[in-house]
Amino acid sequence: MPDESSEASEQVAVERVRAGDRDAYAVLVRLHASSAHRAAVLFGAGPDAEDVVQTAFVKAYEALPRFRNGAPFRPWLLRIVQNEAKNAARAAARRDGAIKRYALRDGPPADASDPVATLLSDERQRELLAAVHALPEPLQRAIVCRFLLDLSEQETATVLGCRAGTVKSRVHRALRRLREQLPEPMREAGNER
Amino acid sequence: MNDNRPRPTSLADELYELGYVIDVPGRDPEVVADQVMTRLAESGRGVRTRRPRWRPALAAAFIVLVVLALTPPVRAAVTEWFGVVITQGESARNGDSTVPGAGDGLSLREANDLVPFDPVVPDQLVAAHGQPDGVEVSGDRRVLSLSWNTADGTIRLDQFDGEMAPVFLKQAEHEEITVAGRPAIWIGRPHLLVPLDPDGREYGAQGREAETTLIWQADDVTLRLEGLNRAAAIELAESIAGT
Repeated sequence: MPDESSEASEQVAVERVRAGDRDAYAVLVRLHASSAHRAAVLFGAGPDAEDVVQTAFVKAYEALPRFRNGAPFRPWLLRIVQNEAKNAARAAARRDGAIKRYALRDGPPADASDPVATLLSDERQRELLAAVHALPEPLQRAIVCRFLLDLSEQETATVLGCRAGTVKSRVHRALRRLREQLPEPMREAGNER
Repeated sequence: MNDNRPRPTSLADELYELGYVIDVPGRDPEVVADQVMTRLAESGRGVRTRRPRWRPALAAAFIVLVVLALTPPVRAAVTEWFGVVITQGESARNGDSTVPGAGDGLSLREANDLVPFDPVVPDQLVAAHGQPDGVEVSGDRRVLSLSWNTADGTIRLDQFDGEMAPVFLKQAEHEEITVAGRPAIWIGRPHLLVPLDPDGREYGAQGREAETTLIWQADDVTLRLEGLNRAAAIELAESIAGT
């Protein structure tokens, strides 16, 4: 999540690029490269993630004249990333005859030294991922945005190109499906929203 | 191994945690920046702070956008759309409505680079009428419109990223049909196309009378074809559905 100073430098960079300073764009790329890459992978770009990210940045640059001044750059960029990832997955499916590729199909590599990793067992992580991947695409993307990328409803709406109300209902439906499909966690389930 | 974070107690919390533990190692942002800047330099693209070429197209593109915003999310079953998207009502008055052509000024290649999907350019139409006479992209890059001027009038093909929210209303008698095994809508009479804003409110008098129209889906793209008769429209749609 960009802090205030990076938000400020983001706006400055946007202004400078729009004024014709191409080099200023590197600032934006540095700020958002990691989250763009993460989104590309989670949106199914697979081995094409690096190229997807680069292409998305190039396209975002070209589209910058149409970027709304003062709007947050990241959700706008991630929408382009999402579309590029989708195109890449589609092209790969045509090329390889693959149905779908997920970078995470073997489960996430949990870092054993990270205490957070202990909050979900490896098995539970795999169950969750498999269940998320089994969701219909629009629901899956809503879950990826809201939870795995930790975007707000409004940001998710920007990324997915739909209304915030649509995000809300997709998330609601997705969670309901996941609950139906997932085995009960080992512990007592709490009160869920 | 202990820490202060509470164990996830709900599915939502578990999913947040999942996001937290998933490790997606990417390139060093510095390297990505170098690669991107190299690509920009190689393509020789200057910063385009002004795009005068676009100005004339903008007003038209806006109309196209709101008109198309009618169409529901591509993944929704068509039956699901009907309640929201199409209300039964009188067909528009009979009149000599004409199909507006798309603006020109863009090449297909340029348009292709602007929209977030792979545009469909039906071989059938190209074979019969050549390259499109009009190519237009909406200001927000979600909608691509192609048009062909033929001896029998204009054929217009609008296409857009399918995950757009249902935000429009159409008053027409319609027919639920199938194109390549997927649900589609045929509107066989001139009808009123009423643009709505994203909250579903009518824009007022900006609607236009539309000719016979077929709406269907191919991959993630929703297509709206205006100006062909039923058989020709379905044949065309079948020829490209799922490509």
